[in-house]
Amino acid sequence: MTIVLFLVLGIILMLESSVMTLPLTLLFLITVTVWRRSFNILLVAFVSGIILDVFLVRPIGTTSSFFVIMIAGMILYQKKYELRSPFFVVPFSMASSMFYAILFPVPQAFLQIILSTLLSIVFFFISYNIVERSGERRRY
Amino acid sequence: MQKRPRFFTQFFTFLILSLLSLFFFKTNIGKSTVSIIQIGLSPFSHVSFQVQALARQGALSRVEMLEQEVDDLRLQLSAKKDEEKEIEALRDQFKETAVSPRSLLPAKIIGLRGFIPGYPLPDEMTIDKGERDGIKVGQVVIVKNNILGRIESTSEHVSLVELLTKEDVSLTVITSETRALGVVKGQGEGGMILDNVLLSESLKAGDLVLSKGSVDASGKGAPPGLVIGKIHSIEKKPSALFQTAKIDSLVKVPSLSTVFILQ
Repeated sequence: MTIVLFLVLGIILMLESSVMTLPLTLLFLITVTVWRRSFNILLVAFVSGIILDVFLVRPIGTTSSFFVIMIAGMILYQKKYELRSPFFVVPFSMASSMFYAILFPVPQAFLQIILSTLLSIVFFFISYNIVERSGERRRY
Repeated sequence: MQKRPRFFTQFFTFLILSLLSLFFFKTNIGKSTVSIIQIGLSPFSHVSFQVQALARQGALSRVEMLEQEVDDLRLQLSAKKDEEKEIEALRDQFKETAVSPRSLLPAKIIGLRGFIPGYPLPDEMTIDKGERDGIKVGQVVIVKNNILGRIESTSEHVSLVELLTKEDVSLTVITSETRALGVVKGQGEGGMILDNVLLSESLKAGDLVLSKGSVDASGKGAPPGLVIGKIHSIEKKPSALFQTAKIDSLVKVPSLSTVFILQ
């Protein structure tokens, strides 16, 4: 499972660094954090951010700082809110996509935020089905 | 109970590392590290872009291809006219004009990020040449004799190009036939307008818009005579101070794979 997740992350990083402005990496990290509440995700967030910074010619460290803060925020509130629910994932994805669009301006930011939110719902339900089928949920 | 301190330790470690990265990657060791990452991972980024470029080229309709051919012929005609004018000017002056030699550095496009692939038209592109190849901020990026944009930021092996269509990008221009002076301003999402043209000047739909020349003492900037696009429609209001025109670029940026940097 971990290998598949890394493969998906690699493809997403490739897409975001060359053809898309949608914050796919951020949405992916949010989805993974929902199901795998491991602190190691902070390391993945940090490295992914550095790779994106390198390829998008941004000051190196900006995207990784943003990713680390967002994911840490999620982990921090996991006891106060039910993370494994679309009612948490949707507003959180929307807010983080909005901050991302403010930090790294893109054309048609509003449309991008809406599409990111819709994508987060798709990501959530895909991951939900995978977790249900693989029976990993029982482990938590 | 031990989980929370562990979380904070990890969080602050990575946050501090991220913040330190901002300074570390500006040092020589940091730049070398970036080089290694860029060289190591650029084939993946390039493959991703090429796959998308092939898909786009396949989607080009016959009408679009013919339109591109007409634009090319129009460009050749304009170049011939310019050549004739130049010869005439040379004859008049009886002396040669000294044009500083310029070299062109080819670069492959490794990133052309749209909102989703192909939509909207991108305002920036990433190329596989950087500071190590002598790329500097402000240098002009062209294809054939069309200006695409200029270098916005650079790293060791990769540079970011802001296209002329990007908002807040402007360039002094002159129209090919009517010789009207103006400023081209990017509108975002592939749009450009010709602004600041006096009402007394004449604009013609279909006329080519050329760069006026903005090369500074260091050699950076756009040389005169490079094509920006052609006039699509004109907006002229008697009450306004200036007239404006919508400009169409002659280059279909999404179908490009190689560009040239004027050095």
